[in-house]
Amino acid sequence: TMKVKVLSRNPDDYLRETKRDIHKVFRNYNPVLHPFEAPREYMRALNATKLDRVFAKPFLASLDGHRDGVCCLCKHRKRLSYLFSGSCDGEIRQWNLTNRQCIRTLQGHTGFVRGLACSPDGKRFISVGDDKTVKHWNSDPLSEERDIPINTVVAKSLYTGVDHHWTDSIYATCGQSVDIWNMERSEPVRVYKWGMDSIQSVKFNPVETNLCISTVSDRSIRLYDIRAAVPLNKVTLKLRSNVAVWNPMEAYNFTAANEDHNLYTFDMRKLDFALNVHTDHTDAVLDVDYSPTGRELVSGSYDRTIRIFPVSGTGHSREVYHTKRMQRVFTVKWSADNRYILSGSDETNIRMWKARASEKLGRMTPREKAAADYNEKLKLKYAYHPQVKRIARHRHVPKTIYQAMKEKKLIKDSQRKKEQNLRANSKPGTVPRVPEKLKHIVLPPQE
Amino acid sequence: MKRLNDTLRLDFLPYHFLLTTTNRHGYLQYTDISTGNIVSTINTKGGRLNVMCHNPHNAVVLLGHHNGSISMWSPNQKEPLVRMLCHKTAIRSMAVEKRGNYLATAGQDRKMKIFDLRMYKPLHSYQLSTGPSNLCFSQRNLLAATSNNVVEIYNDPCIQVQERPYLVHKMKLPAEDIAFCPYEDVLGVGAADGFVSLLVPGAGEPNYDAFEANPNRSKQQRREWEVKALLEKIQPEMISLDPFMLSKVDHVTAERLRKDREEILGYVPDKPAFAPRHKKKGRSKSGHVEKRKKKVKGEKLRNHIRDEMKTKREMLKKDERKAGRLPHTVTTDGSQVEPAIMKSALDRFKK
Repeated sequence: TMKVKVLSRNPDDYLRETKRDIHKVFRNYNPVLHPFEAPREYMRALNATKLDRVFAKPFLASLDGHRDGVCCLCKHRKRLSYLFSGSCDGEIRQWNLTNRQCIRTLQGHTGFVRGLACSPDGKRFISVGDDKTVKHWNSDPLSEERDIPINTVVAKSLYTGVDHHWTDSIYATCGQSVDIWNMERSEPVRVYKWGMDSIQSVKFNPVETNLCISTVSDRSIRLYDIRAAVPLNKVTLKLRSNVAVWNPMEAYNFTAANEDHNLYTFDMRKLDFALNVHTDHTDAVLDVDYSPTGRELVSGSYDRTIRIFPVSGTGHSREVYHTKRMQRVFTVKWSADNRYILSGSDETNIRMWKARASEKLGRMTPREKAAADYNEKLKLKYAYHPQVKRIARHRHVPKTIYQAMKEKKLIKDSQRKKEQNLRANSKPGTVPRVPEKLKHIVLPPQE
Repeated sequence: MKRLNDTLRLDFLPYHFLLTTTNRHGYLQYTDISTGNIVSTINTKGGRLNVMCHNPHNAVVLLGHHNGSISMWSPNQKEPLVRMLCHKTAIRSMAVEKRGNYLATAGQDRKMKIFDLRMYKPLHSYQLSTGPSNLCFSQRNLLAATSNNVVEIYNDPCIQVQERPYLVHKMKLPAEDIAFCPYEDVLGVGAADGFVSLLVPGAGEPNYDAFEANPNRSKQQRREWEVKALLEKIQPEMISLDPFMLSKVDHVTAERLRKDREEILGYVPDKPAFAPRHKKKGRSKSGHVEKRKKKVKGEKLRNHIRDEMKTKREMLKKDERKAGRLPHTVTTDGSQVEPAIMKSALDRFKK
């Protein structure tokens, strides 16, 4: 005889015993029970992308206190919550980012504070100003000597920037020349000169710690090895670069913020072409900083916006931040925990932004975390579908910037058209195609 | 709902929230029940539409016509996606299996036929005593057919030809409609005198997925599911014969875009990789193709290296000449002769 079995379900096997229990979840991954997998997943991706834009509220706080434009910012190298800022009236402030309060105010210089740098142990910081002095300060806000500098060095010329070595007690200043200083001495230990042009910025390499990079008003970017007596190498662009910073993870790469509205990423070992050209700003880029992961960079511009660019890729920004009140952005910093962006601008405020505009701050439950991860993956999977792409890319920008972007596009298109016509009506080969990564470099680097 | 008149049949597409209705005059209408809007009204020109079912795999609606043909519809097209002639007489009923691979049709010619929906070809034909007026597939591919007052259940008639039904049940009055209960071994049969539940062993799926459809869900879970289902509502524009189109690579558009780009630029931006010609007699097996590709690649590389080495040698010669180590030899008639590089015994220690 055949044994016939009929499904009979005992509720006890399927329901939870008490109300405090969690629900029993049975899974069956047979695809027949999960129809329309692709369209449903697509709808989920579309919703995730839409919600991403809905929750995109990047602006966190404004640190209010300076009485003049904020022209430089400096991260504490040991503590996430400390930030130093210098303003155009010579005032230096120290901030606690956790409770968003100013914890110290110093009258540092007469005239602009041109640069700030923190020592690797975080105990001291250095400021340079328009009064031709270099001042060393104790960075502990509760110390005895919190109102007066530990040391003041009177320089011969004006300094426009300063950076500290990543391991030793050495720092570099720039102005008429790049000077290398020892913390204990009042005279520079080494002076690098290469022409008569003034130098805008200097930055030490975080990995190859004896290397530093500077931008010069003769439109060049120069490399120095502080063990050598002469500068290493240089690359000249069509317009002046305002600042160049090292990639913290791939420390042979650096990015320069240029006056021609672009940023250029170079490999220091091969300076005859740019690795990437980051376009989108509609005015001169004044400052740039890398995320600690080395995958993204943030730039502040004279067009009153902050943009975030992926380091590799198409060279277009993934994000643009602006507010009604924010004026020319003089300085930007990416926080060392990769979650926040800080910007100092002309109208005396320091602003705190989220690095990922729609990220939820604070603790997340495991379910929230899993959902967020899943949505992230979905967005990635369907990123190239036209609808998803359009929503993910859409940003509102102020009218002036929108107009400027349109105008720039128009100019670029007409230039391209002209070049095409020229090529079509010339002898083949006489009008070469110059790629974007070569177009903006003037001279080949000297050997 | 007042806008639907003379309706004969109702069907529901659960993942699209679409109610499909047919009427006496040959109209097929899609109504979005989450918004109440009529999505599409199609004049099928197919006469009285009293046979309808949908393909659970791709949400395409199937209509059976009195001329023995069936047609498949999506709300985006005023013409049928597919039209098949299945029977010589009018269609009485249809059902599509859960995977969407097989279609069972019954006609007034007292035949029940199984079609393969991947190829649109007939597979089996069953001759019955009377033409079934209702067909229904269970979750585990049992097919229930009612003819007059007899309910017959066939065990997987699509893959194998069944000699006789798996179960037979006789009712007092003719069966009007049938449906399998999901996740249970129960078949519901409606007749003029009431409703009968029949036990059919092996009909239902024993293991359910609680995240998809949970028969034991609580009120809270049902509410949550409702919100999620509405958020995931598939748009009617996405109904097509292949629902997995979205996650496939769109080669057609890519090719078109590439051609457009080429036209705009006036040159080939990135040359496609070498694709070997198709050869016959087993010479285009994947291994052979790879070998041919490798050969071409190697040849290119060799040429490139050869050229590089040549320029390097010339540069070296030039440098040495510049350094004065290799003077130009001048012949008697005054022309210069390329000197051979003078080798020293110590050269091999050079790096």
